[in-house]
Amino acid sequence: MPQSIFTTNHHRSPPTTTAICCSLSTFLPSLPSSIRFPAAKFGYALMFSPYRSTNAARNRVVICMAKERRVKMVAKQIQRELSDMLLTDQVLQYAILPEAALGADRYLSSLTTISDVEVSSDLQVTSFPTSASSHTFLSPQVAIALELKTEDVKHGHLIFDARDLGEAKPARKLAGRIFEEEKQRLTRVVKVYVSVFGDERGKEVAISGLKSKAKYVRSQLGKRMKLRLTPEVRFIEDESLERGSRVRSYRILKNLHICC
Amino acid sequence: MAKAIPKKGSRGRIGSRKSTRKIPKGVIHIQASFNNTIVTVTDVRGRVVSWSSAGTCGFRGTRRGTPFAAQTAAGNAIRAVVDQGMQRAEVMIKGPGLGRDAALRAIRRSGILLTFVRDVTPMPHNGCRPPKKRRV
Repeated sequence: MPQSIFTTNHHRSPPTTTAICCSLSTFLPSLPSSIRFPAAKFGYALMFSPYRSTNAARNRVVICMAKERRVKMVAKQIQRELSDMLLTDQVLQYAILPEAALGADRYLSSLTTISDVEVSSDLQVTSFPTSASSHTFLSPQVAIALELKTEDVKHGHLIFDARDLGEAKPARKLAGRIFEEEKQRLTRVVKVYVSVFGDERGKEVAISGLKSKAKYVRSQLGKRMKLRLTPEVRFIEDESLERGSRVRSYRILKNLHICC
Repeated sequence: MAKAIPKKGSRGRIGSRKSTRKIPKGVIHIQASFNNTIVTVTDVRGRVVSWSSAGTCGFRGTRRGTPFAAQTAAGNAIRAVVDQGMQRAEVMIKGPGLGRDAALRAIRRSGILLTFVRDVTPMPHNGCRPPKKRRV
């Protein structure tokens, strides 16, 4: 009877075996609001195997999650690096401001700033399984349907019966289908919000120039930062700064505790 | 020996006196770092007329680096010089922070005409060794 084991791994590094980690955060956006996942804030590993065995070590599917604080730190560092690249890298400057390539870089027609960076996935996925025979993933709906309670975790393990998940089909048949879905979900994407000060033409030129250099930016980011997997960079235009500059009511902002 | 009291109308002045001068055109320097934004208004020669920063506007800690703090700092710095009759200004921006965009928008909304916007972030021609890389 397949069993599943949850292993809390926030006190030690995730296993370096062929176990695969996938991000719990990727599951959360698809969650209906009625389903809760109380243990989501803990970094833990969910391991499941299709083999019918009482050996708990073989019944494993691994879900690891980096700590939220670390994800924020990495996002902040990515913002610093990209901002520095916008100032120092000539390739990017020519992409944002084409007239700079002609030598007219003294007076700017538009000003580009990176306002926010959002890391949309986890940071710890290292590899994907070559075959789904020994390990598989549960579908997100199944995984989230499991109501984890922190008090059930004994010595860092939570053992439950896979029949509680409501899986009608044997897990082995689900392996091939689920693997491809999870692989797509596990691609790390970083959304970079860019604010451009200038006229409409300047904004279009800057955003299109940045989007055309997304792969170059990704390669440069990989050289500058030490990451397990360099994320895919997507540039999105940000109009929030322009909207925010129109907020004139000081009292509203004071009540929101934004200003002192 | 007692020091002689200077006569009225002599060269020296007792106390300081603020000079109110009309400045139709000036330069606004915006230094935008990740943690703070400093806005300095000078005349075309570089003599400081007024300045303000996110810290002096009452923001503390991480709030100093926000765009709203930069907008407030720019508004405070410009308020003093608008009364002195400044109509046009050139903007010089230094640094990579969020204050670049926010302060610029605040200046534009204040009514001062922006003649030019320049980026004067210091670029070494491979000079001093930069600080070590941050490990995240």
